[in-house]
Amino acid sequence: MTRHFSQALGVLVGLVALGCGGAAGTPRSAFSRSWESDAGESIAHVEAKLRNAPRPPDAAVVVGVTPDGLVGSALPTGSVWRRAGAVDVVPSVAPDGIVVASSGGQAFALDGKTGQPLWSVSVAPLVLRGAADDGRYSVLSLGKPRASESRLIAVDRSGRVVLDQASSTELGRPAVRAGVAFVPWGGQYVSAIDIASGSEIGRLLTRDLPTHALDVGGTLYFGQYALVRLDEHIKYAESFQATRYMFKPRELPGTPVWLGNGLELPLVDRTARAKIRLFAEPESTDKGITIASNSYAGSYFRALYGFALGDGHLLWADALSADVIGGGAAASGFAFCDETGKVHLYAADGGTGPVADLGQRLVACAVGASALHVTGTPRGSLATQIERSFAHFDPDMASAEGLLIAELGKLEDPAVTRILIALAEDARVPPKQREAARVLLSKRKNGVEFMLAALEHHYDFVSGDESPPVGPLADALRGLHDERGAALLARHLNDPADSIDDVARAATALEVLATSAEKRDLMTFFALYRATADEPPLVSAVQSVATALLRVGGPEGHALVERAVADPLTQPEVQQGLAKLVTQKPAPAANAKP
Amino acid sequence: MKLIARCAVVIACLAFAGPFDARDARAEKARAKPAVPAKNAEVESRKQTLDSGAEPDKLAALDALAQMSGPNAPAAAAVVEELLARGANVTVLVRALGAAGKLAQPSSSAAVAPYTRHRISEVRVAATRALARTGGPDAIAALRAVLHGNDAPSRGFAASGLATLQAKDAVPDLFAVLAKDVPESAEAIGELCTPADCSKFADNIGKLPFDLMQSGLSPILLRPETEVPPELKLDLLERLRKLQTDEARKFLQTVRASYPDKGNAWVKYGLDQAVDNKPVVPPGGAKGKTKGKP
Repeated sequence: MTRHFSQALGVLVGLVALGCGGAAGTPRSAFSRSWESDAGESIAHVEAKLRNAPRPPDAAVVVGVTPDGLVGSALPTGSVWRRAGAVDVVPSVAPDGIVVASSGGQAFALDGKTGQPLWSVSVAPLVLRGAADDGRYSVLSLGKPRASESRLIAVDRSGRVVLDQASSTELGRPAVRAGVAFVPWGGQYVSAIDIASGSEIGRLLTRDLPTHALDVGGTLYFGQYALVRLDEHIKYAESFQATRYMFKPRELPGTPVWLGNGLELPLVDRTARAKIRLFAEPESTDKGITIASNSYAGSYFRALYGFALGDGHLLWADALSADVIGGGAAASGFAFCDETGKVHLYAADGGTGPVADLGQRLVACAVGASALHVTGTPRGSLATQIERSFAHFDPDMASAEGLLIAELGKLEDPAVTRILIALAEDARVPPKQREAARVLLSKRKNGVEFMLAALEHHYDFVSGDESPPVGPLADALRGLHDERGAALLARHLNDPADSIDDVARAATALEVLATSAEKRDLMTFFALYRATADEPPLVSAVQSVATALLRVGGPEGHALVERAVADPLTQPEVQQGLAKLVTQKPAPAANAKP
Repeated sequence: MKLIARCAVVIACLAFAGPFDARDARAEKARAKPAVPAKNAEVESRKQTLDSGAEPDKLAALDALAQMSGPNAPAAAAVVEELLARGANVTVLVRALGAAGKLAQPSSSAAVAPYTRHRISEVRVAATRALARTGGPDAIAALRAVLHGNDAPSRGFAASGLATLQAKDAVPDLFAVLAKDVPESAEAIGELCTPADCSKFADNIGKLPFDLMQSGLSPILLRPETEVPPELKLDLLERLRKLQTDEARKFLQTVRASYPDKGNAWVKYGLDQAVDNKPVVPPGGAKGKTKGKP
């Protein structure tokens, strides 16, 4: 009861203030730095006033920028529309599906679902920084490259400019609700401006560097590094006690940022930066703010990946056949545009939804999908998704590949062993990533059948087969104490195409895995290298093989090692090591079984 | 006479195409002095040196063993094989592998074969060359495996070795490496091919470098007609003529100069026609008439 009363009082005070402003005929300057903090009173009144204000229904649309115009469609499945005429910025897409852009000194609006033109106004010499729409008014923040000069205009559906305020400081990206525009500016303010009167009816002071005003699912948020929500706690924003949320995504290749600096003009960016993006949508809950679907997504050229909000673990991965140049988070799921004009929808779990085709190559893209709930078809296990993604990668995507390899290592799926083997063998994979795959492979605890199958292979000049990753496989089999790999490892001892490091690790594994069945291969290796080992890993390998021979080689193996100890031709370091081994392990009885 | 002619063309091709090991090995074998007969006591003495002697003594013992032939050769080879089974340093190993080659006992192939996979190139090459002399199924299997290995010099020696050992079963392996920068495989194919294989080889005329092809074409044209029928040779000559290149013309002239006077009349006719840049077609154009005179 008390709460309702205070809310009503707040609305009354707000309306009185509005009325007074209007009556005076001199609207309060919206972007005045001489403003003194009102301890959140005015913004709280605005919030109370707008709490149940109506808003138009949401519409999901995509708009692509082509070299000579725009192309768009409703999502998930709508008819494609086109508009001729190059634009100078990436368009803004309002939650109701209104698309606003600027071109050659004119700002214009379209219905993003149909492409139907709504209005056009002159804004020269400025271009669009951001726009919002409440079903009656479109609010545009305009700016100029390399200049702080900005302008805020509001346009009604007839194309009449009903508000036009200049600012000497840069204005951020606005939102609008029921005739009240919310404009971030000055690094700490969000001005609430009554469009009809032009008066600033409230101001939010927040230390979260607000450059964006967002309207998501009917809730308004302000911020950049952190978001504050326009709710009954907004009054306390100045002291960080408003409903506040800081999104902390995990570190990703290329270091993409989420909202970015809303003061920057959204000029069409053809650099790599436009292809390295982060997509997340704020969502309001009873407890505060979170991220929709408890997940977020990233793009890195052709690579796409989704992560869990809490610990940032990988949820899904995919790679498109063309670079991702834009997209957006949905209420549930994501939408991504690639440069060929395809729009790919993904469910929050990474299942694939429908693919829309805008039919033209794009240079940029904007998606408004905050109300969209994408349902998708499952794409198999995460390991399988990662494996398929690798098929689309090329060398300049090594960072994304590295991330996915590291994620592979965390999965228990035995198929991971097979995938890591393939990565370690693939000459097209950059050396750093191959090494990462080898390291993870050496720690695998399952997928032994894939390990054994890989060890069956040897380098082959004719077929072009490369050596398998013998060293990591030897480490893994040793860790698993799996003797099934002994014969295969023993054969690799005597393959000069395997690296010395791999051979040394195979020999180390055979110290514990070898059986008497491997005696011949062990003896051959010992004979070949006990007097010719010229590198420390090879010396170490000979000693490991000697250890294995003393264990499983029977009298014959023992005799071979003992003779090597006595032979002056035996490599001195090898000889020294062998002498110790023989002392520790006396010769078996002649009738002893190996 | 035929043999003399073949030798002549071999010498000519050596000048034309560079060294090739199979013939080199055979020539060396032919030039080798008769081995000195020895008694088993001497073999036993050398064995003791190899068991416990210093490096110079071992090298001397291996040289002495390498000279043994006749009834002592198997025993001498067995001593060398024992050393190989125990291993030694690079100097001694290379000498031992050379000795095994000189003794040319098929029993040694099993002991020599692992050294084709040694990590030191010098040892690998010595082992590969030795196998071309020791022979037998183990040698052929090992040499075929070397063709698949990662050492380029060894692959070349292996190809030549397979030709030396007349390993006709290895022709598919030789074809597999022909276009993969193992030039010695061309000559080996030329020496080993069946008529069908020879035709398959000839299909590469114009596709593979001529200097690679000619080292295989030369033996095909000079092999006895019982092995390579005259029809196939005539077809091959016509293909070479149609190349219309200087190197093909020079090659044809070299082969004609080397072809024995008493060789097959049709082949001689074909060579004359090809050198004179005239179509190499039997009168009437029909195949199967090459048994008569042109």
